[in-house]
Amino acid sequence: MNPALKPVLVVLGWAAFNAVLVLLMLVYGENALFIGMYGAAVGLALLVAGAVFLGRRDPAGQGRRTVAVASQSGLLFALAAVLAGAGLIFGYWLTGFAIIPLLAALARQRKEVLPRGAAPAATEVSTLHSQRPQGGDGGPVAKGVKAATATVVAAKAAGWWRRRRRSSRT
Amino acid sequence: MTSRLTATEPPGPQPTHEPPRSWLASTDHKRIAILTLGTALVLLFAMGGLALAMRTQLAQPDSDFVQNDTYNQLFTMHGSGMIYLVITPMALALGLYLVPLQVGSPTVAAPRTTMLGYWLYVLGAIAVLSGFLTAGGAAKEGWTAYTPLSSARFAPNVGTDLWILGNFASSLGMILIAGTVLWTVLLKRARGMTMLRVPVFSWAMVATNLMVLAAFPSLLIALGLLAVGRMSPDVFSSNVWNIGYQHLFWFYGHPVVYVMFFPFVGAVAEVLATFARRRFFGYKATVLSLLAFAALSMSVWGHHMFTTGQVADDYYSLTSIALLVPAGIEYFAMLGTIIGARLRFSVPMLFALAFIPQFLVGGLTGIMVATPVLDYQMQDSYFVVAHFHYTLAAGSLFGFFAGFYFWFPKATGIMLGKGLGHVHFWLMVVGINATFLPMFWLGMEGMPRRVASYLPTDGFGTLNFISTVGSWVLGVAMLAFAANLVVSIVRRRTRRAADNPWEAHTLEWATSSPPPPLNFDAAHPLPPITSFTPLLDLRRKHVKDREPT
Ligand SMILES: [Cu+2]
Repeated sequence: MNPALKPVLVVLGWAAFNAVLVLLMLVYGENALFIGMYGAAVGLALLVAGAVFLGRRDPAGQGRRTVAVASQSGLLFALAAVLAGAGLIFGYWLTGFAIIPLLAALARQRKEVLPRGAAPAATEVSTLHSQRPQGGDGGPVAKGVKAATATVVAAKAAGWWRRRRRSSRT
Repeated sequence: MTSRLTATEPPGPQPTHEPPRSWLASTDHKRIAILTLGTALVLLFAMGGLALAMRTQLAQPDSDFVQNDTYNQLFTMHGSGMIYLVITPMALALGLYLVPLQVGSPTVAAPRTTMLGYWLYVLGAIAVLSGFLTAGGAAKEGWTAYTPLSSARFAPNVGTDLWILGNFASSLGMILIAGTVLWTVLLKRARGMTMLRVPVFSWAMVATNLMVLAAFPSLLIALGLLAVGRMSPDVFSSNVWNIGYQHLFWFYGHPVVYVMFFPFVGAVAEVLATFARRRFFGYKATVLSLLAFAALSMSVWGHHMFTTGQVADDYYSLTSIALLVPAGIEYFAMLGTIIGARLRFSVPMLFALAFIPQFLVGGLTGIMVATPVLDYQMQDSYFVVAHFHYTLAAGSLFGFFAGFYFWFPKATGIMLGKGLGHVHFWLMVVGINATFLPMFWLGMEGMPRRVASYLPTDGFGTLNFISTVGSWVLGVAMLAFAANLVVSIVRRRTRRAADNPWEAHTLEWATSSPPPPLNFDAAHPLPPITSFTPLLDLRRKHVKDREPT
């Protein structure tokens, strides 16, 4: 294997091996309908390959991070989808209800996208060790120190991020 | 390690640090993965409970511990729940947690899509389980939901509708998660992390996610077809739709087994290499064989349909037997990694070592039932039940626990207890083999699967009793696991995990335990990436540098 194996080749190679297996199926005389089904899956793999190929070529998409730390649109979209599906079982009035989370999701989804260049807020590390005393935000000095620390760390993170983005991924 | 930075993020909902919102609305891949794993673990206990009820019913002939109709619900919900709602999500969540870390990416690609995937999974699981609350009970047509049995004519209960809806939603969620993780490993790798420096586990996730993207849509179509059949049952009076459903279902149904297997092979590979203090043996051959294995697994689905008499038997048995080649390469690589090494027998290593022979039993009996002449005999017998439990319970679940004990310290900063870990492991080995080994003989003696009872004159009593006792041992093993989790979390102050407590080889061990929000930060920068084992390289370089010249 070439050391500079391109990701798109991984997907393409995988699709190609599947394509060979589809062709072999022709020899063994499976029903055309179901050979076609397998063929369609190879088509899906090729679509993935195409997306990966374009994904690399799209300079705007390289390392751009635009999503906020907190996002509720996923939950709302899922709720809308499941409610809409439940409408098929329990009556279409439920499908009507699905519009509420759907609209809420769409509204939130727009807000959750950061403007280009904005450094994303980091999520808090989940740790079961409480390393600093809980409760009481401290006096104004403590707050100032915290704010300064946060700014420095954020600036570092942002700088690191920009450097990472500039250096193209191998 | 509590970073409370809220950088410049003017618009949008401000991040909150208060649970549960900081968790439930997080776009951090680690949190989404932990949520998914946690949900799957809870469901693992629930689905295991259903299995214990079944085993108790079968302990003796002519038992009436549960009624026939309830029994049908139990095996349907146990089987489908374990596959759609437990092991598949576990497998993909392990990848979601580890892949961005292993390839040096600060995030998963499209985190909101990943979060959507999680919520589709949770709401889907709720829909499936809510079937138990309906008048007609939960779904009872088996995890395959064959037609016309599952059409409205023969299964009019709402539970079946909810089952279709819920599994559709959760499988769609899995497709979304697989897509974002695949995108991450292919396109969001750190500088220096070339494709051939991607760790074995992440390569296993590449193969897994390719299968999910190519095969899972087929399940969605199959479930859609079921839904149509429930609105107009006449669809399933024609052969092409019935056999077509089976093709669609198994086109998903075989690859999903590998989706529930590859991530755990990857986990076992990392664990073996770490505790053998060696680089994983045969890296390139393993990568290639994983991809070939995954592709072949797309072509074998008809081996589940030999007895329909309507599939090209020769093709499917040829491709099924060909699976032995990549599987053999992987086994060779695993053995090559441990043979002659100074092994450290920690708890993750024990699970990884047990995985090797136990999965082999499952794999080899799989080749048996994928041989048409044998399958005509074994079809729908307990032999098949034994076979796939050796792959999924004795195999995948052991691989999962190997990974769980291995990476739990990384994800939480807490070491799991050794003593309870050993209790958990040994009870599981005894329980698994006592439960499932007798089923091979039960199958060969002719006991059919999916029966709620048998007669005293059938002669199945002794083996069934052994199997049931084994399942109780398994139940106790899982309690030991739960106790270990609780005790370790309660005593977390004395069980702190270092950044790299096992002296492992891959990037996730270079960062803190637990890792910071964007995985690597100023205090934990990415080390130079020189191979697929960057930390091992660093250690060896360190040793070399200190050697006197
Ligand atoms: Cu199969």
